[in-house]
Order: sequence, then C-alpha cells, then structure tokens
Amino acid sequence: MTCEEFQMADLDGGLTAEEGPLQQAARQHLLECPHCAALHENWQVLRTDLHALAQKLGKLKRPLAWNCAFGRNFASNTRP
Amino acid sequence: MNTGRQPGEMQIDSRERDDVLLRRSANGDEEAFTLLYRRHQGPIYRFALRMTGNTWAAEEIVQDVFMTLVREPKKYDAERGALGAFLYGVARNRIMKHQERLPREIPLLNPEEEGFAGYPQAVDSKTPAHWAELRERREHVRAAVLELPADFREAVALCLLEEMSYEQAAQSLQCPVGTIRSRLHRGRALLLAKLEMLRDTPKRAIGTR
Repeated sequence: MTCEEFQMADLDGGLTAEEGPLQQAARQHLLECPHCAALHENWQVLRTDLHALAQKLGKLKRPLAWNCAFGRNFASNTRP
Repeated sequence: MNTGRQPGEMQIDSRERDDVLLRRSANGDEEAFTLLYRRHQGPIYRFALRMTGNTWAAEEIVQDVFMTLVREPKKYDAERGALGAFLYGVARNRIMKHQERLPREIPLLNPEEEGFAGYPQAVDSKTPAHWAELRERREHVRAAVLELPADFREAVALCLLEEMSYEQAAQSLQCPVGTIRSRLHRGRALLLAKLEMLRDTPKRAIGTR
C-alpha cells in the first residue's frame, strides 16, 4: 500500500471498518511508515474535534423570529 | 365545527413528498410551504453558517434561498434530483455572492449561540484548564475550517460536520464522488497544516511509497 492509498483509506474510515484485506494492508503500512503513523494520529485528534463541533452545532436552526417574518412574506409573494 | 384537530395542527401528512409540497406551495398553500421550510431550513442554515462563519449572513442566505423557492418554484426540476440538493445549490450561489461582497468573518465565540455552553465545567476528574484548552483548540479548528478555500470548506462542512455520505455531498454540490473525496483529502491536509498538526510529523522517506 502506498502513502496516498493509506491516507485515502484513513480518510474513508478504512482503518476502523471491519477487518479485511484493505485494513490489514493499512495496518501494515502504519507500522512501516512513521510519516503516515503520525498523520493518522493527528487525524484522529482532528476528527474527534470536528465530530464534537458537528454534535454541538447539529441541532442549530435559524432563529424563530426570522421564521415568523418569513411566514408573513409568503402571503405577499404567492399568487394562487 | 369540530374537526378533531388542535389549533395550529398541520393537515398535511408530514411525510408528504417534497415535490408534492412544492406544487401545493406554488398554489399558495402556506402549510405545505411551512412543512418544506421546517424540513430543509436547519441543514441549509448550518451549511451557510459553516461557510460564512456569520450568523447574520447565514440567516439572510436562508431567507434568500426560501424566497427563491416561493417566487420561482419552477426553477426546481424533480427529475434532476432531490429538493435538498437544489436548495444547497441555491445556497452556494448566495454564499458566493456574500463572500464576493464581504471578507470572511471569524466572529468571537458566542458560547450560547454556537452551542459551546454544554462543556462540562470541572464535574469530573478533568481540570478547568483542561476544558479551557479543549475549548480553545476547538475554536481554532472552527476558525481553520472557515479559512479553507471554498471548495474544500464545502466538502468538509457537508461530509465532516453535517456528516453526509460522499454520495449525498456529491449530489448537493453537483460533482462526482471522486471530487468530494479529493477535496476532503486536500482539505484535511490543509486543516492539519493550519493547526500545525503536521509540525511534528516525521518527513516521508525520499521516493514516496
């Protein structure tokens, strides 16, 4: 497995997927390449942070006051 | 007359298809439009917020997107894809216009608004300094996402923050799945570089494997 292939597999969550030939090759590459091993470790940290941001913002919606104003605009903009 | 419904209760089945709701909405059915709006406004708002970093701009963009749907419902062709993807497309155009007018803003964190208020405060073995450090790091991550070039930021916002599949993101951005993967790959490299997470990475051996 090349560094490029490893990094794409890592991006796709390939290392955490069910064990298969791709995962075995990725694990082997991880042992042999300190550059990709460090990248993988940092990516795990970043992914955790991104996931936390996604969770925190996940339910965010447009404020209610705007929605009310929007409803008022509807009537004046549609012609049945 | 007693209809058996509570005041304000919707009469349309909330599972009704988007194209049916849009057709009714185009004929002046406000309830149909409200259902469409409730269904799609959250993801469009978050996408706009993640792309602009500005709540006011995100609110205006949502307004523009849905007003386009009210004024020109025929712009959407159900045969060309899902309504959600169409709305993302309209939102992207509005976001680009917004960013041509204004430099990207990275506002100071508003804990209530941005949902950071929920971090535990010394309720477990972690110290307040730990939570402060975590919060600061995540704010840097958020700022780094906002500094990405638009193409990469879109892919990161949809796949890593909105947690869409590559296929959904490709449909929303109207590009091949391979383009999404490639933008994510490069976006991740830029994020790691911006956050100086590449600093301690050992150099790759000459002649890439």
